Amino acid sequence: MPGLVPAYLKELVMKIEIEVVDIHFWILHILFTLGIIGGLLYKVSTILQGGLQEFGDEKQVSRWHKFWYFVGKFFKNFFSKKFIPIIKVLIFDVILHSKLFKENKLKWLAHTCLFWGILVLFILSVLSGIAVEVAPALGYKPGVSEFMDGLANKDNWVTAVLNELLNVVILIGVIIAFIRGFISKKKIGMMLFQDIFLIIFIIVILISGWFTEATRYIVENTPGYIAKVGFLGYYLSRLMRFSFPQATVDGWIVVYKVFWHVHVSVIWLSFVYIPFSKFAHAIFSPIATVINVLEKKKYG
Amino acid sequence: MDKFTARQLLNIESCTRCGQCTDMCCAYNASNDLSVSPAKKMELLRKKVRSGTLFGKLFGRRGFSDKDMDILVRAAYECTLCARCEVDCPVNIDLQKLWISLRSSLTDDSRGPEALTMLKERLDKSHNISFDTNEGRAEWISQVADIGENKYVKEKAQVIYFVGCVSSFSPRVFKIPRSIVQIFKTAKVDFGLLGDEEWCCGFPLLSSGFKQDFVEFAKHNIEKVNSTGAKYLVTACPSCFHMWKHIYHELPLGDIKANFEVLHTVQYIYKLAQEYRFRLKPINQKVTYHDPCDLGRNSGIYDEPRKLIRMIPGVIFIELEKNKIDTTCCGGGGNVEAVDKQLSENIAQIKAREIIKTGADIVVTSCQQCVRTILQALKKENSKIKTMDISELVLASISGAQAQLLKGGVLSV
Repeated sequence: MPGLVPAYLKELVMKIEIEVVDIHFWILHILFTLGIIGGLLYKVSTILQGGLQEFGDEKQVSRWHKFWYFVGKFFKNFFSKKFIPIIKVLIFDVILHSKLFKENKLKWLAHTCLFWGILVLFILSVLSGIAVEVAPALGYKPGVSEFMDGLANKDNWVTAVLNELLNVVILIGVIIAFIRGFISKKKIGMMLFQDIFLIIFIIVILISGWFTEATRYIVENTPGYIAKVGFLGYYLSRLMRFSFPQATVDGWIVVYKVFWHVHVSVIWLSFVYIPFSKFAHAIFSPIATVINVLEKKKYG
Repeated sequence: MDKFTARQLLNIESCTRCGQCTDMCCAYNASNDLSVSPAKKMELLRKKVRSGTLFGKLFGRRGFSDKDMDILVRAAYECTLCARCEVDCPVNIDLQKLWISLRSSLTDDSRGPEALTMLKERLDKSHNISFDTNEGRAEWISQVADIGENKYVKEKAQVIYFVGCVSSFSPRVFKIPRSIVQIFKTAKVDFGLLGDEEWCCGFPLLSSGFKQDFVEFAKHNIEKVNSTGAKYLVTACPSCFHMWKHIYHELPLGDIKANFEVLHTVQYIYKLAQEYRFRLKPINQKVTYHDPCDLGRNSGIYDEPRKLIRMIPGVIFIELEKNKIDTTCCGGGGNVEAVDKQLSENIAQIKAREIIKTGADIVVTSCQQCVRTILQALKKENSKIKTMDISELVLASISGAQAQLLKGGVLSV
């Protein structure tokens, strides 16, 4: 009976609920950030168990020593004649994946959709996070910068279209990767348990994201001309409202919170899982590619 | 894990599991068995590394089982170490060295095949891969005319010809060192042999996982060549060449340093040809060239053999479909023959069919091992294509002996 609840009370309840969401967000954020850092440190420590030289005998060399050796080597190489080759490798091998493009266009398309989709979406989310959480804490007032306000406002048409398009791009990448994985006779590359697990993570993130967006439109009663910019979420919200005409605003708030928590938790879980999954290459392969190209002792 | 470098462990984590390496693997293509593919090796290697870590022990779904170990051992030694898998790797992983480190770690765990342990014992004892003593290293030269009393085993020489184990002890390829000696004699090269002081280059030890023993062989060989005051070390074996040119200087050898330039015979003979040290007469044949993995892909020598072949009047040169960096292994690499003869033969069959497709009369290569495997594979395919080392072709051209060449070689075995 929403009509019986005074408006001021309803607002207060919603404010408290949003604050609860905020607290949950920060708890999850801190916990999972610690998880990611821990996982990465663990991986780096595992890698540093290896020797420095192929024929060297460095059993006495500690991991710390090796770590600083590699940090020193990095700076020595980066600020040297190798600077231009390093940039070239980063552009062609790491960012554009030119080698993969030459070898297999479909594989390249799937990889590019996933790589760029996830990377740009991640950057966009970080920037939005800064605009929503960090900038106001530093004294930023809305209206000063259109760019900051756009990032902070999920319904800003540029932010909404970008988010929506990037989700679609990732979905295309997932579909191609999944089909290739199942069709391929050589399932060895793709169809490991961890890889399927990770693709499931991505699918859950995408779907829960759309449902979160759709329920937000319902809860906030976003006007159609604004919500339409986030096209998939908008039509999903209409479908949901049409399917459950009896549902109350309070009910939709609960649904929204469930989807939001699922969405955020799976995102952070997948980040924690990255160092132990196929996606570990996203972190390690750019470093490895640069080292391998610069130090490759092949003469062909 | 102490057999792997930090860079190799980083590469194991960086593998994107794209499977490009598997598509190109000659062992996989010859057997259609994914368990010998590079991707499988990488997967098991990753599992092995992870199972040894604290996280792996606490959260690993399954540890690294005995079955996994058996598959990994098989895959590690049923690899020709041709490095074709590296070419298309999007992360540019130095896979050949990774597979060698894997073998080294398996050897440490006493998991290596018995055949390779026996090979090591043989090398320790006689310093060569054959069953003969090292005193017989220069026996092959006896049938070359005008060799003098010292049989070219000299204390001082400008050029040292490092013959290699296969050419020294396998009668089927004696033609190769004999041809080289004839060419050097014609070109009036001041060359010498190390005789029984020539030890195996150590590649069989390295590729079987005995890294430390390998260092001792390298030390001995460098010191012996240094003592001759040679300006050049020339070898016809691509694996020996690769060791001398690109691996020896990476070893912890203390003060020992090579004071000479290392060349493959194809480079040196090409140099002699450019200096007009001999005259090449026509050979009116269609010739194709097989790039040995260690000379081509792993050492970057592609142009000299092609230029040398094209210098011979009358020769029509045809490229193989998979040439230069894309060349496929002949089946003779990585000691696979000692572990799985059938797999080695199947790889060679694929090579033989590729050669037959060119329509060439002669297939030339720059490796005694490739000559041996391709010769047998072509025989199995009932092909009349002649297989020979580039030195034999050059000698035939110098001698104007096309007819003899087609009958079975300029020199008798």
